[in-house]
Amino acid sequence: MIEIENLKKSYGDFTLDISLKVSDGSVTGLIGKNGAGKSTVMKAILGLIRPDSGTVRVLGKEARSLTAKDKEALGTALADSGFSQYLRVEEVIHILRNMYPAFDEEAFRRQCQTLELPLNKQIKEFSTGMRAKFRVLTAISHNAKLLILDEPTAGLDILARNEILNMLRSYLEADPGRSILISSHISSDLEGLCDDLYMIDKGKLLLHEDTDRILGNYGIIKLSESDYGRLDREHLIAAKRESFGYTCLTNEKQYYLDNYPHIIVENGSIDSVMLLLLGGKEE
Amino acid sequence: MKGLLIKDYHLITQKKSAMIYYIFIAILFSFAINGFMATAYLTMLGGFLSFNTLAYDEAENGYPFLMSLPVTAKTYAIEKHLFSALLLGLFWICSVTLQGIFTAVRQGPGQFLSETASYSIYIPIFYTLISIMIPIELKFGLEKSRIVLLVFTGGLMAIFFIGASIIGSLPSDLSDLLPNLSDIPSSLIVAALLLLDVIIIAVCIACSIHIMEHKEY
Repeated sequence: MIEIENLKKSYGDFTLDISLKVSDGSVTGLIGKNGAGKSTVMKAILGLIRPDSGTVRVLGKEARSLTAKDKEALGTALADSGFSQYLRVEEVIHILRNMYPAFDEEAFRRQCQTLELPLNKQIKEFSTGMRAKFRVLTAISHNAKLLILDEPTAGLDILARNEILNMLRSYLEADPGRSILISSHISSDLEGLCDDLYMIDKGKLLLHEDTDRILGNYGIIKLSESDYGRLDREHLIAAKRESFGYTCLTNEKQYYLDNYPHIIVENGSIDSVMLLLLGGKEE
Repeated sequence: MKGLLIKDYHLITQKKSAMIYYIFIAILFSFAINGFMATAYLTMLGGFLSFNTLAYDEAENGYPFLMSLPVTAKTYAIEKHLFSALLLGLFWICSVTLQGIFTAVRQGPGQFLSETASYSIYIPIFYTLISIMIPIELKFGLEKSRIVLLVFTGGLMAIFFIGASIIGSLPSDLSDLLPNLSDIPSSLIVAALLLLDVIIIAVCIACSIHIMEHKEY
């Protein structure tokens, strides 16, 4: 669905330098702190920026060469961009009906009712949660093969986030060939949805890993300075000095559980992996 | 293209109350001043309303999302010029119809028909103006384009006055070499002006397409 090879794009001091792949039928997460380059990756995929070098291919074509017909297969929800907020949902329905031949108006209206989105209110009168739900609903309304979602759950409460994640799960269930690229800085949203994750920071790729492997194989080891000195560090990815000693990240949790029964090994999570990769020194 | 036209239609209808007010002003013009003024006012209004849709698109960082919809940069640029033409034409037809009713009531239908041809001068004038403004807005954005337009208009006026003063200061034997406009058939002047107009509009559309195709969001 998406293939990015050695994409480079500079803005002043910031340089994005990344390769990424989203396979057919998979959900890929893009995670990183604010300003890491997530939105720039999304823009490159949508052909909204010109790469300084490298290639960005979407649905088998160069991103900036996508035709209007090609774009019918994309569903987009961007964090800070959407339809004019002066428009009403009813008017957006009219626009989508004439923009996407596959627009499912009946399902869209039904979903608006379920999500309590009033058809005759201007978008500017919506709450943050309503706007986010409306953006995602718009993206999934026309049988898109690929969704590009930039921070779709940012700033939302747990209930609204859950509603959006459920919408995405339903979208995926309807056709196993569909794919999603989703960026977020809320790791728990990605843990339950993504097949694999790209972690980026300052425009560079820190880690690409299957979500199941992060949750199953990665671990956080907490140990004193003397234990740290005796530890086999071959399977440590990062270590961070703490007041009590060291916190280490490993991608072979079981190795340390088996060989060092006296040390504390916690299950890895996206947050803990990110914290250590961003804050720890590489081993 | 159709989806974009519908989007712009819905955007301009957000200003319903303002439009009713403008039409009321136009009716007042028709009564109090004359039909030419009212037609110019309404035709210009149609042009500016269509131009205003660019501001809606630009507001709140709307372009990245709009360009992710099934449209190309070229389609977007062409749609803006087409929508302006449609709206300007529609407002012109409405204002001419309005004048027709007033003139027919006041002076009989014959008088109105003779005036209609002269009303049509507003279409190329205002459409050219809007066509020039669109690429400037696309290139510089809403805020900067105002300054650019002021500089552009000032530049045109300066060229006009400098040109006029140069011609006026030529020795009489040199100025005699310049063609006397009164000797040229008026139909030829109109045709030449229309051709120039078409060329300017075509260049503006090409510029809009070029700007959109090279723009980053």
